[in-house]
Amino acid sequence: MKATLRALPFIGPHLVIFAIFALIPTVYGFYIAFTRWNIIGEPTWVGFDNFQQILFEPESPFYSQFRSGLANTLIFVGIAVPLLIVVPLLLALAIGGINDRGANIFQGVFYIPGLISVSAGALAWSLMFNRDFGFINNVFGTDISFTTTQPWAWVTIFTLTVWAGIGGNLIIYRSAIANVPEQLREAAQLDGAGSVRQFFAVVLPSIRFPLLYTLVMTTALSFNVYGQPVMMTEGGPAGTTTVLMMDIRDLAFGDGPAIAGIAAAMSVMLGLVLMAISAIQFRVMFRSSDD
Amino acid sequence: MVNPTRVVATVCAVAATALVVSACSAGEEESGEVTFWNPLTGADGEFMSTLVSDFNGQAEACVVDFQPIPADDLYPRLYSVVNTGEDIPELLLIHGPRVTEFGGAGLLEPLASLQEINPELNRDNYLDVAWDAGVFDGVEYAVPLDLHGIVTYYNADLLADYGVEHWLDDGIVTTEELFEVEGQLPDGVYAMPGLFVPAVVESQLFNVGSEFAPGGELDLTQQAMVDIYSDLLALDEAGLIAPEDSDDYQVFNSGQALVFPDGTWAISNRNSIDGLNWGLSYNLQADASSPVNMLESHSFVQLIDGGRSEAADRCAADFLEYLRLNSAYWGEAGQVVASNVAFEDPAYSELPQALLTNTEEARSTLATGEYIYTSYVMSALWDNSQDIVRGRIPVEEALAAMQNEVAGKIAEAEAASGN
Repeated sequence: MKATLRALPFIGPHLVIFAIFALIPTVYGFYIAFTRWNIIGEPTWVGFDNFQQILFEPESPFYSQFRSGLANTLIFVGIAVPLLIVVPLLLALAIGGINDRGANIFQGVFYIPGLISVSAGALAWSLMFNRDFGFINNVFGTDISFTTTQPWAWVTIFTLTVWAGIGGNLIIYRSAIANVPEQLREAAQLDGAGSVRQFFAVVLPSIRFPLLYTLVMTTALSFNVYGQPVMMTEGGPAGTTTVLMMDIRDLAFGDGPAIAGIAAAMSVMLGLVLMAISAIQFRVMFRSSDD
Repeated sequence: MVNPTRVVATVCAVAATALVVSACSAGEEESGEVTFWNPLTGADGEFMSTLVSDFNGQAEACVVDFQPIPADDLYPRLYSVVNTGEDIPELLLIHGPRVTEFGGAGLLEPLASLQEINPELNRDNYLDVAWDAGVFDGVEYAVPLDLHGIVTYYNADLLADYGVEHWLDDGIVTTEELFEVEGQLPDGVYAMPGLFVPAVVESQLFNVGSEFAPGGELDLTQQAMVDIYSDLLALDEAGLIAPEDSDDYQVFNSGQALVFPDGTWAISNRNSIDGLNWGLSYNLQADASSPVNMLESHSFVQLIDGGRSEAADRCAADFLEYLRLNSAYWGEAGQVVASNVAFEDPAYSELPQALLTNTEEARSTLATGEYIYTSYVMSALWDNSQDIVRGRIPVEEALAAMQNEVAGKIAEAEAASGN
């Protein structure tokens, strides 16, 4: 009891912030998912009606909206997460081979885009991808309408995502790789392992915890993607890059009376998908630690 | 040792001073402060900021605090302050369709209280169509500031170069007329950019005598919608609409498009472009015999707020009266001012947008959407128009999807509001 009281001043501020900005909104969001609400009046309890509409009623516009939004979100997660893991890992390996000063400079260069707002970054990349006067079409001599044709629309989104997102993971991987025991590498070398073999047999197993941590965090962030498609493609062409967060935002805070119940139900479903995937990832992580 | 006589004398002196101060205060009028939320974040915000400063400079016991907020943030924030009852602004500028939305939800204060303070804030002193945009279910909620919307800018030099000056003989450019330059334009020159296709579609629907909900029932799959979109699709297929990812402003401003359906708010900016010989006509019409210019109002409203002081109401009424009498300057921002006083100002009649109001015939072309779910419809138009016009989704298929989407939203909204 005494120990709990002693701990309270230390964890208290965090608990208060967590309760105000995470716990209460989450619980309230769950409640709203079971109501019909236009944000103005009192929510009306409708049980599972909202979930019924988005999951089992093909004639409802929210059914197709949810499926399409979730499918596009999964496409984004399925491609962005591997890119955000592999690219910084390769960069960490590459700059690990040069001297510390140079490595720090490169690390800083790769980290800076993460400090720039998505909107500002998207504007810069929109200019780069512009069909008429963009850098990319001019350099390659092409005439591609990047943001209005597929698969280029996705390419612009992934480019912005990787550019802005590799810095954080890069720092974690550099630190983890630096902590791999040198004697393990030397032992592998003595056994005749080349650099590729060393990477898979020594480095990768040694950094599996940071790797899994970044995998879980990157996956969670990727499911909440919003800014990149809004800024680069506005969800087009033909809604092929409209992710679920865009639909949720549009329903809850778009033009016209709010449809907050359906939006909250979509949020809950997105959260459940994310929780399921995170649970699988954690299971893999803990199974690895038992080995 | 405390001297009792001195204490009594001091207390008396303090009491007397307090009496004098309070007497003076009672003689002064209570000061009114008006927090003024509005979506004027662009160049028009600078014009309004100037008007507010001018008003504050001459007003007594009244200060207006100009707070521009991007529309995407403004409207969700309104729901928030209404629910909490905290920080409700004393005066609000909103887009016309929101009057019906907020009025229908019972959030707006009827205008009667401000009219009691200043009876000049009445229909007779404003453009009818602008005033009507602030009326919902027979109740007046809003004082209009302006009307704004899409008109057609034309490049006079290009019209001459391609021999189509006759487009302007009746002052009206139609979709059909644009086909006259098919096959005549060099690479990189277009009949028009397609940025504001949704607003063109809305206007043309009224132009051909229909509306989004004929008879009160939403119908986005009606033949008129099919025809309007089909014509625009044909324009694009003929290479007459600038590519989708063009910088449409740049296309027109640099002399690469004959006409440009663009907002009235772009007038002040376009004035600053050297070498562009431009003019203004009605919005692109489908049928020249019955032109319609669909516009949207900026309307002043007050949210219901029991905590608002009488002084704040007086201040708000004074500010609205000041704007009514000094609206001609607002016209320089490119807006069609709503106050009749402006029309009597010779300086205003020289502005390009005066073509929409300078004759009774012109005024009869003006319209604002009264359909309560216009916001849902326009959102669907903005989401889908480029896909239709660029041929990515067949017209009928896209319209059916839009109908389903908007009808679904309406059903939810009506169920939530208990209708």
